[in-house]
Amino acid sequence: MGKSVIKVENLSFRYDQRKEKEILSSISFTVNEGEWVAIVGPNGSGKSTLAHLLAGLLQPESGTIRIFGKALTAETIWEIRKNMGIVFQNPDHQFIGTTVQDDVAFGLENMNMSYAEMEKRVEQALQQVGMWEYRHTDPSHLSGGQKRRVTIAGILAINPEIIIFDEAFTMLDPKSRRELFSLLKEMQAKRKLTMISITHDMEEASLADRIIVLKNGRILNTGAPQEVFAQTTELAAPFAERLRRLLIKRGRKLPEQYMTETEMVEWLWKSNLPM
Amino acid sequence: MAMEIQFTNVTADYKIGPLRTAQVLYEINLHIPSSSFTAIVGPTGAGKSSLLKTMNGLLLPKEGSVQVDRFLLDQHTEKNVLKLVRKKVGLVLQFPESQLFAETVEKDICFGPLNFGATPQEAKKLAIEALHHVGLQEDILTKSPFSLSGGQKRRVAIAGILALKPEVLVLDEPGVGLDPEGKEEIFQLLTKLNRELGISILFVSHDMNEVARFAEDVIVMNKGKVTFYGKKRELFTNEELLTNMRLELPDALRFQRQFENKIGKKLGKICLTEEELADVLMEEGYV
Amino acid sequence: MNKLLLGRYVPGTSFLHRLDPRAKLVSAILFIVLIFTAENWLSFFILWGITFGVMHLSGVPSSIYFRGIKPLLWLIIFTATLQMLFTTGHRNFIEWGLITISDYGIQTGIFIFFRFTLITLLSTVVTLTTRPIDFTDGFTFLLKPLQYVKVPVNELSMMLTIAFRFIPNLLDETQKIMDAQRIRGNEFGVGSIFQQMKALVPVFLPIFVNTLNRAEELANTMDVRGYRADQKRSSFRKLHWQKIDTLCLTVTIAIMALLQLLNSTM
Repeated sequence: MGKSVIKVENLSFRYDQRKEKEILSSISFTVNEGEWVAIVGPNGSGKSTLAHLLAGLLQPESGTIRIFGKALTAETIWEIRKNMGIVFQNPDHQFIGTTVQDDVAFGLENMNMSYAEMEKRVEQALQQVGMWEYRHTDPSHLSGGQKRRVTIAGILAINPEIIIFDEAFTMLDPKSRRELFSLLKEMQAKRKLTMISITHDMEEASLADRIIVLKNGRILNTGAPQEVFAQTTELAAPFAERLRRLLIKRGRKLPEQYMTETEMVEWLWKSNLPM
Repeated sequence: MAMEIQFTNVTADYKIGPLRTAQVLYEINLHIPSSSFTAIVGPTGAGKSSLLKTMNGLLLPKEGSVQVDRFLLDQHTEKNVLKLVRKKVGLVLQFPESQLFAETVEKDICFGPLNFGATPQEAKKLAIEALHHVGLQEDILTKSPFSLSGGQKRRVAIAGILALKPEVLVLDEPGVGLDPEGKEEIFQLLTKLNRELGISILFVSHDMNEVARFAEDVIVMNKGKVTFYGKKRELFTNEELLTNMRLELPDALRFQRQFENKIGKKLGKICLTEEELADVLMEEGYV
Repeated sequence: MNKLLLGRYVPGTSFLHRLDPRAKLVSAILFIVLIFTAENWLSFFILWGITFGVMHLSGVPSSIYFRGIKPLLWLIIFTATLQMLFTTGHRNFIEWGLITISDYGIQTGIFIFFRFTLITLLSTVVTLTTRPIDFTDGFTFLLKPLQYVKVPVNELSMMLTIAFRFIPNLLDETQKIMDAQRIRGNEFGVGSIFQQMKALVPVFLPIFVNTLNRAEELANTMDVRGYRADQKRSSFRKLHWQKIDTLCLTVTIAIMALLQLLNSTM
């Protein structure tokens, strides 16, 4: 893997300094260039707080966050934000523009970009997420999946190196979710994007290169999806893994490691070939 | 408990100020039996939420009528009848936690019963009962609803409707936005209400896994019309309809189809959950 | 609140929809000045003609206009009646304590009725045919000179954009919460004033809480997308001044001159 773009060291946070309970206690991890990392955990595990800290919307109590080698502070945050995009949970609360293209242009306007350049970037971004025909539409008239595409286009337009998805797909139906995941995979490959998904959806997590499991503000486990799903059985798993666990529980012999859906179909087929 | 809902030629639209919107429901004919468990599916804008609202009298038919028990809902229905219907058909809107308002969970749940004429003692009794139905403990009663977690808030909001002792419960995407555990809890409690108390459940969903696991019947809607109403297994066997309506397959069925394509043979049964799929794979000797 | 038409936009492709918001705003302001300064029946006759003409041009059925101004009609009639009852003139028909009905009073009353009705109709035409965002852009452009006296025009414009953007959301949200509480047996608009106020508490509290949450999320989004009030921003939206806009403004000024001439010769 390439060089690290995000480096988090001994990060701790409490909303209320008078209370003992830490939301995050001494968390450390790094994210490498071009890597897709999923941060998973149940409600209350501190994952959303972590997203807000990474976005510079909250200040850590102790510890540091380094992005592109620079410590995240009130001075550096605006520079860092020019290369980082964040998608929050509810698309309805995130539209500023009254048409799709106006909204996509918002970040560019903030960079004081020339009209010609904006025009080019808005078109590229909307083409990439497949929403170019909707450029004059009022975003509130779109379906959930389309709204999400527009928010993503707004971020792609600024050409970021990092995108953070803070439970960005939980409001969507499984179909739009799956369509967006393949879009993300494509983006990651094409643009060498570094992505962080903060989620409780295991299907989303299974697509990442690496999973970090948070529990009660601490890192419980970290590794490639196949390792994490095999080791952390308290984690709800994608369908194929659930089926594998169920068959093993019923006394059948199956491979010990995690398999994707395609791998499992393949395995079932092979084990049934006439000898 | 005999509580049926009959839609006869229902057509409806919305008024927005002086303007009228396009029709949202066209000539709907449906008979929903007592104690049924029905999912309503279809693309965004198909009229699913509007269908729910007509059952509760929030949206009155422009033509045709909805018969709820012995009450008839149409343009001429009077206010006092509406109120009786609303007590019988509890409607849980999308993200119901956004309607919580009182200082304590107790006051919020008692709000409905008090409006429908219960005494404070009766209301409190109903509140405690409803709280048990949604699987929350009594010590939550004195807490502020705003201090709870997302899943708890949603269950308190549902308890606020259950405290009215409805005979039919209709819900607009009850699981949306919750984590997998939260979703599971909501559907477990709906199943319990349906089996133990005989309450009819109708829920709108975009998630075919929810439909496959929990519903018995499915209503498919498209452009304000009902395009399918029947048993869920019948729907998932009908490949043509699934493709035409662009409906997703439940995980188990999607896996089954991939496997069938690979081996070039069909399994003996349509599997809707991982348990069913595991059973069939074992019975037919594939594993 | 849902019956009011003022402030609503109806999409369309009419001549008025295509006008540049600056041309529309300036013309509307000039007409409002005209309506306020009109002093005789002929001027009002012409202004009514123009207003009906413009309403017709908007392509929105006039029945919608009249249903839209109905909620304001009573207020206008009330004001006009007050004028009528408390103005003395050459010939007083009835005198009863403070109340006098005179020829001049009747005329003033009718003129006031005309003024308010015309202004309401004309502003409704503007809002019905102008997207709020274009309205904001036009408004920002016209206020630009004020920047030199340190008026934060760009911030005002951003505030207006966000306000317009969230008014429909807020209305939907209000409707949704009212529905939700209606389901729980809450009745609106019945009983004494006190009971009616009490019925609104379960609506306003959640709206307040939800709006705060929404505002916070929006502020976060604006923050992470790099919005800083004190920094120079470019604009993706452009206004296009066309021939029809020049035409529109010329016609308005011509009418203004004509009416001035009429006023001075009569």
